[in-house]
Amino acid sequence: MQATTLETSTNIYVPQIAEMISIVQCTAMEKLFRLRFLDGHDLGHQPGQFVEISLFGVGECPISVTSSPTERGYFDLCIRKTGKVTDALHKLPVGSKVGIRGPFGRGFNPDEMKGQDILFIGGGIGLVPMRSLINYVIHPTYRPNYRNITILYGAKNPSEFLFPEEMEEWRNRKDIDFRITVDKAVPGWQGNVGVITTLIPPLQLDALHTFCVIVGPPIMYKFVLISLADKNIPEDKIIMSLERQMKCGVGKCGHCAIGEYYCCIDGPVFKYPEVKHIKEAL
Amino acid sequence: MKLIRKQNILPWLQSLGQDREVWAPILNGNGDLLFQQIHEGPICYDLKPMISCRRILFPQEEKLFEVQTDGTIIAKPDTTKRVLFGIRSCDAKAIVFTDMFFSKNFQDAYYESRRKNALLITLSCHDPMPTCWCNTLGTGPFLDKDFDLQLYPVQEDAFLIAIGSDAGKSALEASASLFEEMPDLQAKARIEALKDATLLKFAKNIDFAQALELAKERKISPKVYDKYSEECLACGGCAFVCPTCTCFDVREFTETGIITRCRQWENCFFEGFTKEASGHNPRRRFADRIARRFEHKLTFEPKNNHMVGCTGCGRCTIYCITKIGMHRFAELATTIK
Ligand SMILES: Cc1cc2nc3c(=O)[nH]c(=O)nc-3n(C[C@H](O)[C@H](O)[C@H](O)COP(=O)(O)OP(=O)(O)OC[C@H]3O[C@@H](n4cnc5c(N)ncnc54)[C@H](O)[C@@H]3O)c2cc1C
Ligand code: SF4
Ligand code: FES
Repeated sequence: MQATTLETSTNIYVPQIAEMISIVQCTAMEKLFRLRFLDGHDLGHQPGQFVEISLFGVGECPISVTSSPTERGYFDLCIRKTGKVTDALHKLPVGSKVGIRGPFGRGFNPDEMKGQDILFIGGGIGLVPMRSLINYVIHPTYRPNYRNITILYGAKNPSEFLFPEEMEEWRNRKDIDFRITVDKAVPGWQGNVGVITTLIPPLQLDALHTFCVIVGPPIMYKFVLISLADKNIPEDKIIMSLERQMKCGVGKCGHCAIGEYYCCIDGPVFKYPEVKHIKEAL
Repeated sequence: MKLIRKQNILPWLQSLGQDREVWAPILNGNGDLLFQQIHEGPICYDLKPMISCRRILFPQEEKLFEVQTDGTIIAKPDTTKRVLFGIRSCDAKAIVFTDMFFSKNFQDAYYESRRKNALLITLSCHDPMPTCWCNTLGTGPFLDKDFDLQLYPVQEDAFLIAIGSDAGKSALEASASLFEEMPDLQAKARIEALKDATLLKFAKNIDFAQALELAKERKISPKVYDKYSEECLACGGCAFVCPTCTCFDVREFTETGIITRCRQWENCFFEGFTKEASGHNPRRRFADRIARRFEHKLTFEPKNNHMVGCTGCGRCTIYCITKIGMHRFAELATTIK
């Protein structure tokens, strides 16, 4: 696979070539791929942005960048096996070449959260896009910019937790409040049992100075929003990342449109008041 | 003002065609009026083509790139020079819309290349269809800009010509002997008379202006879409004939080792359009997909881009199997509260 020619370098539809430099099986369904561009350039993403990954001959799909921008020289994608492209990606060995377009979309804005508490609420694979922001704000260089950091993470069962080693690290850090839950207990599980909303009521939140970042399956938003309203969190401090079917990633194909927005350009990260009035958004 | 006799049009276009393709409304073997190259048959001046020249600037299927067996990626936007002759005013305005759309945020190299190599020769309307509403939108029947040349059918056998750009001017100068002069004052009077006569021919049975206003103000009752969804067969034909529809799908295939990625026109009426990998579909209800189509064109485009996403061309009604389209929408929007 060769680098793209000059003619193609400004063409938004033409991918650049990246190599898979490591692959880790996270769960039965998800793998973590570490990629590096052949020409060595950094992806240069914002936390919460996504790329379009291509396996030539099979197709292309949008995937969030899960690594923090503080990590340089490579970027990570955590991919669930769910269909044509993702199945084929799961079959690739280290050293494989893939196409990458992006980074695309509006990501999280860590600057506006400065001096505030941050509450992360991640359901299942929703942790993946959020993780780029978590690892950014807890990076030793940036951690002093933020006050309390709380991470709530829920999965259907313990075998679906995505990054066990990192979770251990988060749990051990004194400057992070990390709590997890599973929908269904299994023998040996000693932690919380119950959907993610059960973790919210016990929290002591400084309602006016807390940004809440929520990413999860569509059904999760509904219930989490109710719990946050109970805690008097202002709506403009609730930030979410939405998933839509996407083809182009650049505002042209129309698939990702939600109301007046294109999720791929105006999102995938939205503030709750921006999408609250759109019936199909949540 | 320049005037050209009908019998001189073909020689003129042929001379323009020496270094480019010339496309014009021509009947095909099935009796459909489509933009085709002028060697395919006689030009039709009297009817609006079934599909606008969107088909040429944004083809139904277009290659995005190919990956050769050695891995080299080749992406070649189409740089063919073309004359698009006989474009109706509404379709020229649709091009203004797609120009905006394909250059917004990110430039679409494929559209841009076809567009900048196209000379637009429009034909003002003198005989609107019963479903046309360009008069309400200001997208026709005549244009005051957004063309290279505009022809006015002021008499049975001749057209007056307005020049809209330097490229248009050169296209006349190259075949100067084919044109006659009409004194400007006289020409202006002829055009005004034609315009006045044309404006009288528009149907007045539906209040499009009110429908548009309601849509802009987000005051369309959800019952409008429920009712429409009962009448619509979801064939998607309206998006196919609409000059401002731009949605596409992306597919790829491999042939003799060469991988080709293409885009094809898509349709927001189809259930699969928004279905996500998880199985979740934000617009599972058909009525919600119908709302999407009309809100996009009449509510969101005016809000985001200060343009209406409909040119009032009337095709989505004329070519609809059940004859609904924008016409029926406006009817329902102004009657269902
Ligand atoms: C911004 C964003 C970020 C994402 N981040 C991640 C991530 O970090 N990790 C991750 O694992 N996933 C992520 N996803 C989801 C991921 O993009 C999908 O899982 C992926 O597109 C599946 O592609 P596929 O080819 O494997 O599946 P496909 O075989 O293409 O199937 C995808 C699904 O799309 C639907 N579909 C597509 N086209 C059509 C059509 N024409 N008609 C009907 N249905 C259709 C179907 O429901 C199908 O099941 C993200 C999605 C978005 C939008
Ligand atoms: S929506 Fe209908 S009337 Fe409007 S431009 Fe499209 S096809 Fe023409
Ligand atoms: S993914 Fe194509 S418009 Fe957003």
